Amino acid sequence: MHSITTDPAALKIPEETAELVRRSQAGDTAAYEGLYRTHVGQVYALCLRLSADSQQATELTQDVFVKAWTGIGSFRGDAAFGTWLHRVAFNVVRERQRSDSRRRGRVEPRPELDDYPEPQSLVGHEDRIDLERAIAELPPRARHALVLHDIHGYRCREVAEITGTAVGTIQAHLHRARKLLKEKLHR
Amino acid sequence: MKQHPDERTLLRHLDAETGSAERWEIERHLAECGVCRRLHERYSGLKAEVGRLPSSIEPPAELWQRIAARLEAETGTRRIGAHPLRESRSGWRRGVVAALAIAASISVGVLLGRQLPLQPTRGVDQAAAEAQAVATLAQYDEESYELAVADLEQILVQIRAELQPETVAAIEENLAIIDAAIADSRAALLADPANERLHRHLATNMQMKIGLLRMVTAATTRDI
Repeated sequence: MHSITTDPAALKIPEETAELVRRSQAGDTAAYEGLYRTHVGQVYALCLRLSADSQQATELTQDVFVKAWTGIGSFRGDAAFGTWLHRVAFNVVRERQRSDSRRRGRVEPRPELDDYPEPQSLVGHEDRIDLERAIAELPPRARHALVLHDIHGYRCREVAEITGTAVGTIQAHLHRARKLLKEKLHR
Repeated sequence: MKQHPDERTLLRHLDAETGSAERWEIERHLAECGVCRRLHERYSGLKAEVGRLPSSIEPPAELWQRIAARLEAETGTRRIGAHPLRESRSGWRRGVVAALAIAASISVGVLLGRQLPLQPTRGVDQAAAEAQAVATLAQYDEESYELAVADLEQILVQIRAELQPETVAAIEENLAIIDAAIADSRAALLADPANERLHRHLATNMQMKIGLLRMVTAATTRDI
């Protein structure tokens, strides 16, 4: 499998991030806290939407940053650090969902929306909540594709790399997700 | 393009995932076909709406402290030997005890000393409702916690024979420290069920216990 590549300018890691990564690879936890502060919002949002469970999202985010710490030596800078971290996050979430599935049977998590952030304006608040709920209720693979593509802005090829799935499969999941959303929201 | 493109093709066009020839054909069709144009516009609007959702959400404030505690444990073990459970007793203990020191640094006594004054006329039902509300806010769930701990402890029993005696002793010592902190928090909560700080303290200690058990069982089952 090829590694994720975009244009060279996009791959260039900001010097400050590169320095924090280098120091983290050398075992400097203060530098790693800097990386955490920069990326935790995105990682938490990803875990929250992939798991559709706020309590689990907090635990998953912890696991992601611990796993990334133990594996940071393998980060070689051939993708953006954020992308690498999102791949770690996706794998942690998938591992947990498989393990929960084995333990409890195939029970879908109940969407919990209380911990999603309040919108900046009350205008459209209910629409936002309806949309978050509709996304949380999507089948897992469709939800994963939609969240990574439409919210985190990855292209299908990149989503395929992050999830270890074929591009055509991602397009099919994305199609299914949007079709279901359109039906749920009567758009 | 004389035939209507299927929805999946329209969506690939929406995502700029089509080649130039196909794109040109679809655009020409959309210019001529109101049905497909309306469908394309609906999907385009939906995609824009989803794209406006925040891609970054603030996590609970104390999250870094919990992660830092686990990193300390990892760092303490990783720097000494390749296998965290077969290294010297001092390395293993230093790592885990460092993690626990953070959890233990906020004692129940300190939390009680800073608590907000209780309303003396508050009824039992109201207290229970408040307790439930703050437990939800602190994000822990007793039932899920008990299930997770039971599962992990069962694994620990199975792998115990593979561990060195001093490692088992260190794990048990540290679990006892966390259990004592959890018991303290629960006792304090009996007296003050709506104290949010106590609930958060209990949640942190529960997560610390699960984190320690996960770390031990994962490292052992992976490497033995």
